[in-house]
Amino acid sequence: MTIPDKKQLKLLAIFYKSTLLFSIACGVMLGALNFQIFFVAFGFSFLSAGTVISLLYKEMSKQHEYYFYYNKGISKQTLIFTCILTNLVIGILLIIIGSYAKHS
Amino acid sequence: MQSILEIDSVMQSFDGRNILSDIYLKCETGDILGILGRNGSGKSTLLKILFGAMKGDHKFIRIDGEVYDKPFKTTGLVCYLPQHSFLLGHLAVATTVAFYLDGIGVDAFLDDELLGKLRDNKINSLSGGESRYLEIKLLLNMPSKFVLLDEPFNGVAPVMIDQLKTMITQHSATKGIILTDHDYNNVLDVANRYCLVYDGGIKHIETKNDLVRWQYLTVNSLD
Repeated sequence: MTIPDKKQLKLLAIFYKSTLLFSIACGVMLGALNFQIFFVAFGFSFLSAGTVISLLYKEMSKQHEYYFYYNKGISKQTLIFTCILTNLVIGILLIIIGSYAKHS
Repeated sequence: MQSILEIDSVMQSFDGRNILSDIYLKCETGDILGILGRNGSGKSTLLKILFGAMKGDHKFIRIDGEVYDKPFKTTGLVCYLPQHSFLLGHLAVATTVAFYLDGIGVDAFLDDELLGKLRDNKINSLSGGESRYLEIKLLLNMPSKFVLLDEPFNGVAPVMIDQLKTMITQHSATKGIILTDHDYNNVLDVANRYCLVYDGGIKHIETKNDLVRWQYLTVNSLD
């Protein structure tokens, strides 16, 4: 996988933003089950089920949009990897913040 | 500058059925290669394999002497118009153009009888024909050596088809263009080379009688 240039990074951001609705919704749903551990639950759901559901939704109903990115040299693997990595980082940060807040 | 694209030994099967077997195609700058074929003959599959969006059971792609596995990953080589719209519905026309042309010549691009009045509209508010026109114009204006158009005339009004054909002809001066469509009359009109995907292979076409010979048209279809 090659490192994206500045223009491709903008397109990666567009793709990533388009996956956030499901990721955030999953996070809120799990987090709302127990507000005492909201950030931990949100973070965990965000980086796991939320990511999977977002990408599955893309695969099942927005497949044609991948060509928007292909025509700018960005592969599906790069798009998916970026989404997973970003959600992983954000999710872990939220889990750490949530755990720290709970114990302080 | 003259560029040459060759795709060779293409093989693809689905559910045990051979769709494409040992296809060879060549396209050079200045070529407008029209590919015809019945539904399910493998035209779109061939273009997707050539673009790199589909792996193919086997293929060999060479552009200007270099071998590529997925040509789309190298900027400036190939771009592809799929059958269904590939634009993002929530973006505005002007934003989409800016992304695709890297911000260069956006105003000149939108200085267009049709697109000028749509520049601030969201893509998902365009009609099918308007969207198609925009997609084709975008791809033809990208700095790529080859443009693959899958059913470019589908759902487009006749007057717009004429504009698209003029655009395709103009851009063929600096690009190689491969197009497929069921509107064979317009394909035959705009293309300067023709072939037919038949029974998994490629048949080179010189006249409409060849299309009858290879069972793409009936005798009654001839003018």
